[in-house]
Amino acid sequence: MLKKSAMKNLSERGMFEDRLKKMFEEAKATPSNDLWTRIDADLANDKANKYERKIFVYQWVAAAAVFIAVSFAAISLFYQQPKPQDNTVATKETVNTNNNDAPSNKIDQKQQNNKAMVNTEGNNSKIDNKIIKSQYDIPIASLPANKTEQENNESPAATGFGNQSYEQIALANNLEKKEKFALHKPESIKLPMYVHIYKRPTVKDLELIVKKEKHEDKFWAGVNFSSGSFDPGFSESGSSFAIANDVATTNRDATSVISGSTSFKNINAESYNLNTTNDEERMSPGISYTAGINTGFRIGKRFTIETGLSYMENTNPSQTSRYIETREESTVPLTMANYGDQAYNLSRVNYSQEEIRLNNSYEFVSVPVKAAYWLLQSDLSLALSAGVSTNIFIQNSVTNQTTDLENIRVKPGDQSPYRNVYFNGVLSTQLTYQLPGANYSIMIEPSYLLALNNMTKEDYYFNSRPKSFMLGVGLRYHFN
Amino acid sequence: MLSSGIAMHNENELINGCIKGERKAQRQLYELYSHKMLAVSLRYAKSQPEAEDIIQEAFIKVFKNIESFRKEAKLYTWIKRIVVNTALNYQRSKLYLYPMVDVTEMHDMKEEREDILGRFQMEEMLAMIQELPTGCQVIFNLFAIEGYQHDEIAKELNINVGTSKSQYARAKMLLRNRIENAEKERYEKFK
Repeated sequence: MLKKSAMKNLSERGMFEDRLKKMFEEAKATPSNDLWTRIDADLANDKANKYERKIFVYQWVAAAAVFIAVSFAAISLFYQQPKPQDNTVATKETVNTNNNDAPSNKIDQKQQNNKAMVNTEGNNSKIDNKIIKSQYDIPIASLPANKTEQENNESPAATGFGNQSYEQIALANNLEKKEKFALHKPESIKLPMYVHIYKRPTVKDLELIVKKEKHEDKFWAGVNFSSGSFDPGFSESGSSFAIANDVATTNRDATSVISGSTSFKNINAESYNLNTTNDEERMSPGISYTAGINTGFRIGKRFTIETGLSYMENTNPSQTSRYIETREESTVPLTMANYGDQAYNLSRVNYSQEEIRLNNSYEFVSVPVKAAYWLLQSDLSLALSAGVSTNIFIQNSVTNQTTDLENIRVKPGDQSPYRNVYFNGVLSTQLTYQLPGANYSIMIEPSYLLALNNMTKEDYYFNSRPKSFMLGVGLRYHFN
Repeated sequence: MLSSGIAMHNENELINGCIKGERKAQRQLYELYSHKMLAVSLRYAKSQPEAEDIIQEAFIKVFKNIESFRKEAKLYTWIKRIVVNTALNYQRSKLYLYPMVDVTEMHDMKEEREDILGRFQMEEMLAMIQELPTGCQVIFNLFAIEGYQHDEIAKELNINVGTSKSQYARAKMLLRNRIENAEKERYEKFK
């Protein structure tokens, strides 16, 4: 009984316990100076591990995005390669054969093959000896309808114009500099038991990647450059013939405009249907580049609005077999750009046996406005953005490689086939990396641009809805 | 002992800052509670480095889980519970709890000697507690200072209630022996 009561006394609360509890209630002890540094290191390591996982995912996302972009561009370019053209004299002969005004259409094939170009008239032509004149004028309106059928049969590839398609963490984020990385200094580590903290290999790697946890900047400004594939997206306009014919027959003194054996007045509407011929300029995909300045504002935790001002130049090669002599006696290739002019100004259409290789350049001032949603906001940030780009037309230049034909330059105005302004829809992904210890970030941005309206005027012979796949790079300064 | 740079005095601000992962807030929280928590940890540890290891691990848990802190309890109490649990986990592998001690060894313990504590400083008591066998030390802390009941301790440590009681009794007996020895030494010194 005695033993039991003694045990009970010892295992139950009494004055001893109460005094002891009171003694330790307000007890304090001073931790060693490096304890916080170790905790901080642990927190940083933990964050580093999280970032490491995130970065791994984003690396794959970025790699996949680049792969898709490159594949897309490559496939687009592959399918946009100009198909072999059969612009032989035989084709032209067929044209002449169908033309009643060309009795001597039985031109010796071999002789014609030796000729570089076939002209129809005019000893005052500026074309050199590569351009050999033929015996007959072929007025623009004299192209017979059945020529198209024949040429389509003979050279189906030549009709492809309308069918073209492109398509670490810095471990001590908020530590004062004197504390930052103190744990890396061996002398600051007093206890060998803590060494394991520094053995993690990921920390060093991630030092390069993450410094600040969040971007708190409200405003940034920068410069950007991008380049990529460009598809002018020309297609036939349904009402082009009627307009051209109407203008030509009512507003023009055709006989004074057109010299030659065939009067413009005599051409029937059917034969004037230029849009069904395959002699028109054949566009190939090209490249686009932009350079400019931009700025962005934060409007929410994850949303920014971005705008800027850029110079944009889209260039693409093309080929044609036709050239025209204008009333001003200049000889220029017949292109999309001056297609409308032919109904008003040209004197005749001439055919070249050799393809005339052209380079089209479309210059714009571009003002994009985009909204971006930031999926990841860290030193390595990722955003999806969408918006509209307003493109103000500066000029269109068509240059050729021969010295015999003059270049074409189209400026904005009533005579221009292009609208003064057209709009692009823009979709892009932005990947930015904040440079360590600086307010600068670098940016890479794959984007897809598609015209929301026609680049050409509504009543023009052709519609054009350009599209581009661009890869941009930029440098930004963040104002905190 | 707070650093002069502390700007956030409001506990809610501090908690919100920690939830956002702001290192400044985390440091301020550490500065605010580390001294008291280290004193708690020292009671469960055998040395200061060991106690600091416990504190390190405990504060990492605090920062990782602060979102789950319900403001029904005091922040101090919540952090202390984490420190104690961390200390228990830390010592768990070292725990060897005797099932029962022989009660006959304790029959001559007298209740009237309990005022003996008044003559000792906290540091001396802490040193004596640290010298206890790990099992006794843990149970002594939980019962005498944290105020847990034996059934709670038994549940926590997955032992019998009787084991908890006997371990506590043993701890108390050992402490008293040491206190008596220390008193004797003092007496000899001043003699």
